[in-house]
Amino acid sequence: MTWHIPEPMALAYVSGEVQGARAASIEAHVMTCATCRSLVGREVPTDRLDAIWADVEELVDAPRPSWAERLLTRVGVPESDARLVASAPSLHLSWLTAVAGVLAFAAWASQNGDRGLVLFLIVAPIVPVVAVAGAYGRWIDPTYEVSVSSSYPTMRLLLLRAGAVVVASGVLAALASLLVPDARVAAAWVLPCLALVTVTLALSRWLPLLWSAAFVATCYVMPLLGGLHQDADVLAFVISRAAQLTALVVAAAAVTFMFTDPQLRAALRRSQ
Amino acid sequence: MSPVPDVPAGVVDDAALLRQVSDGNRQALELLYRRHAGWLLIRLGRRCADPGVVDEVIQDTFVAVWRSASKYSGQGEVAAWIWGIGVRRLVDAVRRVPATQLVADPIEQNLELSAEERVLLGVQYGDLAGALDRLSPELRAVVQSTVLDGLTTAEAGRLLGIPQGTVKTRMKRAREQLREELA
Repeated sequence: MTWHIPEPMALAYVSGEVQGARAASIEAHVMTCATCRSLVGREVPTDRLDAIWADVEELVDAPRPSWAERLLTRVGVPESDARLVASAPSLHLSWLTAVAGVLAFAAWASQNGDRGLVLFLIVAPIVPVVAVAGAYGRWIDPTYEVSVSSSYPTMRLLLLRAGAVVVASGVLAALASLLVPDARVAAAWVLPCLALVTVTLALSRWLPLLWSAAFVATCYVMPLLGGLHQDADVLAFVISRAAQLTALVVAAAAVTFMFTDPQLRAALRRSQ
Repeated sequence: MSPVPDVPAGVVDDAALLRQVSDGNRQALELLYRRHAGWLLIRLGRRCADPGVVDEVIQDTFVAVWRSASKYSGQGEVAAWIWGIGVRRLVDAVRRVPATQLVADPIEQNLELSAEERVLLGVQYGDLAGALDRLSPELRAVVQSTVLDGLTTAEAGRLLGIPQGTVKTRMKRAREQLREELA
């Protein structure tokens, strides 16, 4: 292209004096002409461009946000929250892969008679509890020291992360349950899971999260394994209406109890 | 003011630079930045009155160029590709900072739009620039964002702070008015 924007017109464009159709024409030409791009561009003060470049360099060097962080930002979680939530160890891809593997195994086992179905009912509700345990805590979380020393409210972080990991592992468990041949069993893990997760969170008021999760998981798994050992009909028990209702009541009680915690109420208020 | 520098012959072209950027070459990114940040900043600055927001958008844009250089199809001007990223980042930034003051660009006199732009407007003949001139600022802003800046109606709505439906009605009204005047 041999035609170039006359310099006075370029200057008038940069200063905003040229507008409308003429400005549109300049902009269309600038897209196709490197000479006129540099003519327009060199009117920007060098130190302003240098300052922006310094920021670009810094961001380019920074580690790329994880997939979880990008997903959270996309659904509207503020960036600072997203970074903290996404750094939960149990949201890492390696962790989720392991969870998917365990659930796939349980779903496979459920194809093989009543004992397999019981195994699925033991594993599926426990998986989100383990994920919550892996969401936050001194032994698990490499960012723990940072989060303790920052002014960010611990309870809020715990809840945000617990929510995120329960959704992530819950979705995996729901997918696995699609493979379970018995429809009653496929749905029966949901309420016990809800009860276990909420009780774990409620107990974390006194216990470190890891202990509280271990305690709750043990209280759920041990009696069921004991029942299996005694040849009791564990399957019928777990899917019975009474057991399911109990799970619902326990979950409701745990949530109610959590709301008596002033720290938690403060955390929820902050998130509104 | 020095005379217009011609781009020296034998210099690596933008598409080749972008390939190097997608291989992780930081120097190529800086060269691309030096070539394109200036005009992009001026052009975005005409659409957003807050220089802080514009600087942030430029920064976002080149970080995006770094991360998605491999997505450039190899067809069309690299400048146009960068503009596409930049103007969308501006839309996002404006959504985050609703108080941002936007510049509605009043249309002035008599340069013609490209053939493609005329077809898009559904206008074939006549004093186009004059007709654009007589559009109300609201209608002109919509024509500029959709036809000239290449935004979708949803994005234009976000940029201008009006609902998507309003963008469509204004676009329709602008088209009717132009057709009437140019008939």
